[in-house]
Amino acid sequence: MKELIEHIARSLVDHPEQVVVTEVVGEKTIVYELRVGPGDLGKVIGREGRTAKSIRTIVTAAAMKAGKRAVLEILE
Amino acid sequence: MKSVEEEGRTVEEAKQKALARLDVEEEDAEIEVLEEGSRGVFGLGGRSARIRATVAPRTGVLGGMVERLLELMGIQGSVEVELRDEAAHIDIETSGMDGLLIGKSGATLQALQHIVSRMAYRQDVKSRVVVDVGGYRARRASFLRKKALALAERVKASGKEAMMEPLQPAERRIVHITLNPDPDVKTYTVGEGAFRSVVVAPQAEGAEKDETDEGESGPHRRTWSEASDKRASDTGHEGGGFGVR
Repeated sequence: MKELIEHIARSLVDHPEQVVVTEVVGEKTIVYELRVGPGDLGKVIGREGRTAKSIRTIVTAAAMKAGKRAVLEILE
Repeated sequence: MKSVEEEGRTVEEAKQKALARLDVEEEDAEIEVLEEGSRGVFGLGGRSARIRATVAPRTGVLGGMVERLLELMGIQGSVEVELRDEAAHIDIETSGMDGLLIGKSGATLQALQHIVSRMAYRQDVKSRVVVDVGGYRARRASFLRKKALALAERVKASGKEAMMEPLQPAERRIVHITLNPDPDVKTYTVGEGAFRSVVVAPQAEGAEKDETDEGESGPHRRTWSEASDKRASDTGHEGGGFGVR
C-alpha cells in the first residue's frame, strides 16, 4: 500500500525524491501520511482536490482488496 | 498496427510523407529506415531513401502505467490500450475484481482514469485517456439511457420536473442526448462538482424547443454540448435552464 501511494505521488510531482510516505498503524485503520516537497502539494491535490480525492479512492479500493481500512493524509 | 512505407530523396522527406499519410505526429510513430538513399553522380545512379513508419502512440507507456498500478493495488488483470476517436482507451479485464475497480457508480474507475490521465500528461502523452473495466462504460451508458427515458415518461405523466442522480460529465451528456429528440421534455444541468446532475422538465406548451433559447444566450447560458469538464467556469450556473440543441 505504501508503495502504491509512493508510486502515484512520485509520478505526479516535480520532485519525486522528496516524496515520503509514513505508515501509522492503528487498531482498525492504517493511516498513511504522504509528504511532498514544497511546491508539489498542488500536484497531488489537484484542482478542487480532485487528484487527492482520486488517490484516496484508489487507496480505499486497494485496502478493501487487502481486507483493511486505510486513510490517506496529505501533508507538505 | 497501421504501417506504411514511403520513398523520398532523403530519409527526412520519406519520413514526412509517411507521417502525413498516417496523419500522426513524429513522436507517435516508429520510423524504420529501410534504405538510406544516395545522391548518385550527376543525378545518375542515385537511390531514393525508403522508410517504414508504424503508428505507435506510446500506448505501451499507458499500458505499462496501468499494469503497474494494478500490481501495486494487488489486483491481477490484463490491460489493453487502443486508440479510438482520438482517445486512448485503456481496457482492463480482471478475474473477479471488476466491481472493486469500478466502485460505487463508477467512482473508483473515475479516480483511476483521473490519476492515469495526470500521469500520462506528465509523461507527455497528451491524448485523452478513457479507462474502462470489463465493459462497464457501455453497460452504464445503456442503463442511463433507459433511466432517462423512464424519467421522461414520469415527467410527462406528472407534469413535474424530476432529477437524475449525480452524474459525471460524460454521463450527463448521455442523458441530454437521449432526451433531446423528445419534444415534450427539456433537460438542464444543476448543482456543482460531484453533485452536478440533470433535471428533466416538461416542455412548456407551444414553446419551441431550441431556437427560442439561442437569442438570449447570456453569459450564464450554455448548451450541454459544451458541458465538458470545465468545472472552473461552472459557478453561477445553478438553477438556470440551459438550452438544449
